[in-house]
Parts: sequence; C-alpha cells; structure tokens
Amino acid sequence: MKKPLSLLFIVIIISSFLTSCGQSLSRYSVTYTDVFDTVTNITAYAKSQTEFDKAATAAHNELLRLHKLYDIYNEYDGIINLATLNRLCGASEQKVDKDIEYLLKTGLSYAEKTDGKLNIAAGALTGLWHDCIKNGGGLPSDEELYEAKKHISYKSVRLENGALFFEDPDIKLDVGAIAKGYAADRAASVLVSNGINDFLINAGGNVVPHGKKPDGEWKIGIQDPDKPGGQYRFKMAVSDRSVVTSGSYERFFTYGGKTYSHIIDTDTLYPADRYVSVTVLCVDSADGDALSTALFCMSVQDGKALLKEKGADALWIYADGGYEKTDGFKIDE
Amino acid sequence: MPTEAMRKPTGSRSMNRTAVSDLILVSAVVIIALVLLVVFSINRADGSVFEITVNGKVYGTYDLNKDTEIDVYGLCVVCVKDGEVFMKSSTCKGKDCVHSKPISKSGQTIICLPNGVVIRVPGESEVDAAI
Ligand SMILES: [Zn+2]
Repeated sequence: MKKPLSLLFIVIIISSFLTSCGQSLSRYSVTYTDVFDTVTNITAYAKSQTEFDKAATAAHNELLRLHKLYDIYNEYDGIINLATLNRLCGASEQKVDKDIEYLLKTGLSYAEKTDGKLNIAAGALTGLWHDCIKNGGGLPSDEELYEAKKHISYKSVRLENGALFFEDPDIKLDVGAIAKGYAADRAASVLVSNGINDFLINAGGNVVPHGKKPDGEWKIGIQDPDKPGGQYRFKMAVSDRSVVTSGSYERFFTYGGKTYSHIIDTDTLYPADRYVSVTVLCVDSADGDALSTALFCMSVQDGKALLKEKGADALWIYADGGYEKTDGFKIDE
Repeated sequence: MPTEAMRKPTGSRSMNRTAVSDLILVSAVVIIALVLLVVFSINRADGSVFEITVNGKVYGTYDLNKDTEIDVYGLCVVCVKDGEVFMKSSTCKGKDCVHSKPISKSGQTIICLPNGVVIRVPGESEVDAAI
C-alpha cells in the first residue's frame, strides 16, 4: 500500500505543477513609438510570450493602418488618407474610407454639440501652430491667426453617403483630438479577437482597460504636472470605462519662457490654458478623447452639462494645484 | 495488481528496495520543483536588469548593477551608473529622453519618441498606466 500511495502523491504534485504552468497567465508588455506621434503601451496577461506577441502585433498593425489613414502631414501610396482629402476635397467630392467616415461623423456631431469647441475642421489654425512648434520660430502673428480663423468652420464640411466635400476650399481637417481614442478602441477589439481578454492599452493618454488583473484591479496614475515621471497626483482603479487625459504637460512647447499646450482654443486662437489637465471617464474611448479636448477649452460648468449627456465623468486640475471633479469620478484616498 | 501480489511475500528486502526507489522519485520531484522555482523566479526577477528596444525590436538586455555605456546605433547613448540607468545623450531634437530622471525600479521606462528607443526595467510598477 505504501508505494501506490506515494506514487499517487508524486503524480498529483507533478500534474499540479504542469497544469499551473499551462494555464496560469503571465504579464507581458510592449511599447510602440511609431503611431500617432505618441507613446503607446500594451500590457496584457497571456498564456505565453508567443500568444502575446501575435495579438500585440495584430493590434499594432491596426494602429499603423489608422495612423496612416488619419495622417494630415504625409500621403501614402495606395490609400486615400486625410492628407489626400485635405488636398482634394476643396475642389471636388471624394469617396472616403469607412474608418474616416466614422471618425468624421463623430467629430462633426461633437462640433455641433460643443458649438465648435471641438472642431475637426480647424486644420488651418492648428497647422499654423504646428509649424511654429516644429520650426521652433516665434508665435503666429495676429494677421496669420485671423486669416486662418476665416477657414475653420466645421459647417463648411459636407459628408453625405460616404462622400466628402469642402464648401470652403481652404478648409483643412485635423482629427488629432479624437483619432487616438478611436484607434485605442479598435486596437482593443483586435486583442480580443486574438484571444487576449485581460489587458490595458495606453495610447498617449487614451487608456482602454479590458478584463482584469489576476491579482486585483487595473491602476492608473494621473501624473503630477510639477513632478512628471513616476510621481502621481492621483491614483485610481479602473475596470469598465476608458480614461482619457488631455494635458498641457503631456505634449507642450515652450516659447519665451511660457509653456503652451497642444490644444488650440478656436475662440482665442491660442493654446488653451484654463487647466493643466482634464481627465474623462467614458465607456467609449473615442467619446472620451473628444470630451477631454472639448472640456479643456470650456468652463467646468459647461463641461459638466456635456458630460451628463454622455454619462461620462471628469477631473479638472488647475495650474495652481486645485482640482474639481464630478461625483462619479472615483480616486484613491 | 499482479506486481503487488508478487511482492508481498518476498519480505523486508523488497521493502528496502521500495524505500530506495521512493527516495529517488521524491528527490527527483524536489529537484524538478526547485528547477521550476528558479526558472520562474528568474523570469519574474525585476529591478536587476533592463532592456533596450529600438522600434519595437529588442536591442539588448543589460545588468543594472554593472556600470557601462551603451551606444544604440549612434542614435543615443544609454548610461548605467550606481544601479540606475539614464539617457546620457541623444540625436533627437527635443531631448526629453535626456531630461528624464534615471530609472531603476520595475515597470519604469525612459522613451525617446523621435528615435523609437525605449529603455525599460521589466516587471510591474505601482500603476499599470501613467497619464
Ligand atoms: Zn530623445
């Protein structure tokens, strides 16, 4: 009797080892620097490095595809992207890709709702600032800004039955404020279709959580503008909603000792400076991206009204260190 | 069943043999368990090594406790000193990476976006995403 029992004991030990090795999920992480001019990180729990790599590569390919589609600075062989459409749609109507149509429709509906605070047709204005930042020269002149202001009406953008036309030939589209959110959502569905269920995507401040961590909840750290890099002003757990931050310390430029954000207020024609950052909690990351940009250029009161409509929550951080938030925005104490 | 029946009458000699074979089996299991434990703890070890990737491809994995300088394709120079790693110099325009603080804890990264260079200490940090 002694031997069969000890054998059984040994078999149980070995088999429990094997099953735990086979089924337990390990944590994997990858960082991409070649999409949407930002840092994109995917962290996931997968059965093996191979399984993770396959899924992450598929998600990365989707991000690259959308990056090219929404690029307004470069044209690519074989695709009609926003740069191509910006060049052609002032003169003639053009058929657009489904992913462009979806994003433009979302953008135009937010333009209506926010009275142009979120404006995907403001490329003439944002391009002016982009060139200044890129060339490191001075700020745009008032003449340049007022000239640009004449050609940023989203009402001049006509999108019907998948065809795009600009009633003002000088209109330029710029979807930088909403593209990353939509792309992060798409990357998430690619991971799911590749069998990965527990993951977190962070596409330059657009965080999409899915499933859960084996040992708890996904934790997000909202950086302290005064102490960037590893110091957090707030920490929070997330599970079912995306988190999107628009912050002046995330992407900014300095000129004459002053720091400017990359979000241009289409009323003042200058970079918005009401807040240091606005973080939005929202089911859909594309909505979250649009909301955080719009809220960045609005009073807290106006922002709250807009959030209510979408069932979203937000946290505003002021330059003096103070903050404001909606009740549904839970932060760790 | 037949082996059991055959062994029973042979007495204490075979009991000893059973004990010896049990001992071998048990020690084999212990050794396998130890090997698995070591393999797992190496996989999970963090804070002692870091990895450099360029455009998503691994350039190399290095010891945090060995002071050195690593030239990455002439794009930038990564420096390890006193258990910390930092970007010493870079060909990029903004130099955000060079201004980043040295890192040493698991989950921390230094990123040079224009050059596609990522320095990462593997493992998990206090948050899963920083925004
Ligand atoms: Zn750099």
